[in-house]
Amino acid sequence: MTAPTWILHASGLNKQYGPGCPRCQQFTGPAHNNSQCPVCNTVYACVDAGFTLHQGEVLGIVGESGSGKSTLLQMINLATAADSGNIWYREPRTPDADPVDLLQMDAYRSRHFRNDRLGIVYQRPELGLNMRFTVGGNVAEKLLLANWRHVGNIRTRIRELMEQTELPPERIDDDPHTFSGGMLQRVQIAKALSSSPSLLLLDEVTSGLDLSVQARVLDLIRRIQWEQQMTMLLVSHDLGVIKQLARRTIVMKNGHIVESGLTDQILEDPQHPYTQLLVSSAL
Amino acid sequence: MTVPLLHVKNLHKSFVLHLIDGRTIDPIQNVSLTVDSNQHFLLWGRSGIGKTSILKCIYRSYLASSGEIWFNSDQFGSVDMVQADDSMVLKLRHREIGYCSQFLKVLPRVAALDVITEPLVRQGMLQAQAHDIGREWLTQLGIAQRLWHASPVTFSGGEQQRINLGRAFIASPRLLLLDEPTASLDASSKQIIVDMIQRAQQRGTAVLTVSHDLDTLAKLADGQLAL
Repeated sequence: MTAPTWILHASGLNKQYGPGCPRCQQFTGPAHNNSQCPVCNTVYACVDAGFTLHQGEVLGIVGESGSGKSTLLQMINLATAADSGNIWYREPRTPDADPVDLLQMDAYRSRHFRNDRLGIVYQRPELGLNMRFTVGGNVAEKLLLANWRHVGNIRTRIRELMEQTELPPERIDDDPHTFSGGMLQRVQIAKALSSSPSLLLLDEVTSGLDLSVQARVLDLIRRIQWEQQMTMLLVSHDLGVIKQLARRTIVMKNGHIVESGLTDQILEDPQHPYTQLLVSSAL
Repeated sequence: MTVPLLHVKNLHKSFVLHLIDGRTIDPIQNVSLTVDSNQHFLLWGRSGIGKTSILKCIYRSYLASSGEIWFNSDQFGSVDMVQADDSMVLKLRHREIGYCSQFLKVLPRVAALDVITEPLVRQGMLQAQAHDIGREWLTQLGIAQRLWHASPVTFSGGEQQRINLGRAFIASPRLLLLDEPTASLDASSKQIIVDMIQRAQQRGTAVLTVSHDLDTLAKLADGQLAL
């Protein structure tokens, strides 16, 4: 029997902020167009979310602001603790090994896993970078956490990553404040790739960039995905970005996944009223 | 008894337009057809009757409302495209089922040579080898060499359509779904497409074509259904 090809299988993920009350279900969710219970003020950021991610695949998560897509991404990033659910992970380097539930790992293993196996790129560079460090220092931070110790090797690796992400390697010691928005996204990508992660998380990576810069960053992500067969989870509110990169897409609204399917099917034959509204609103 | 490559059984498709009072449109009602290996099957009828919707249901860009679409896969046996999970559909699209829409949709930064060879590279072929094959195809398609490294968005409608079809044919899928392949083409370009369909059949590809250009395509078809 061939081994399954999935590397991540999340199920029943929940995240709420507040105590909850018996009336919550009556007032929250996509049908009520509300994530917050008017009785107890509990916010349901993510409700019973689940998906499967296969090796080398890009899965898009689309939805409006406040729909829960970044919360879901941060739960996968182990930066936001899920209230319940499972995130099964199967290491692609050892496909015959049993999967592990990332939510059952202790703090030390969880931190190590995050640094070693995950890479993340945020919309705002200051979330992914320490703006007081040099560009090289930012990438070195992740390498040091991965037990790289030889300064010469670290600098060689950083220069390689800068070339790979189309950054001038001679600017390794520059202050990130002297970089443009598009270049800072490349620094974040270089940092995320430094540990050769098995999963790259992308949170609105091109939002706020000029159109031409956006296109170059997307081209870079597409090239990396193709050359390294990188598995990616891509959060965006922009259907154009999702269409370019993701083969499958899930649609979120008010903390719930309202629809999932092949990206072309989501765009051409959306089933849920919200997805139809989203597609009809595309520029 | 041999199993057909594609068997569409009682296909029905409704669109529920939630943004227009939940109105329902039913473009496909109770359609059945069978396509065998190597066959060229022509689906024809007036505009708006649901021909393209049938192709899209087969390719799963549309979700069928009811009915069955059995594809006899080399790798996975009989697969009902209506019920198959998304991962299975992606695997079949990757190797066995090709789709060519009526208009070429590509990024304006990608060269014609890369556009046409993309299915080969996606299947794991080295880019240099794929480019060698791509250059042969572009020559056969009558695309001038000076255009090979330009984006097809700058090409004429006929040239774009030839690139579009070349990309669909190049990886020799077992089933190829063609949506109005000869629309917007002049007589010589149509002949190129006719030759491509014939060569694809010789390589073992079954072709399901949607068209109202009966003059060009009816004589090629060895099966047809009027809607």
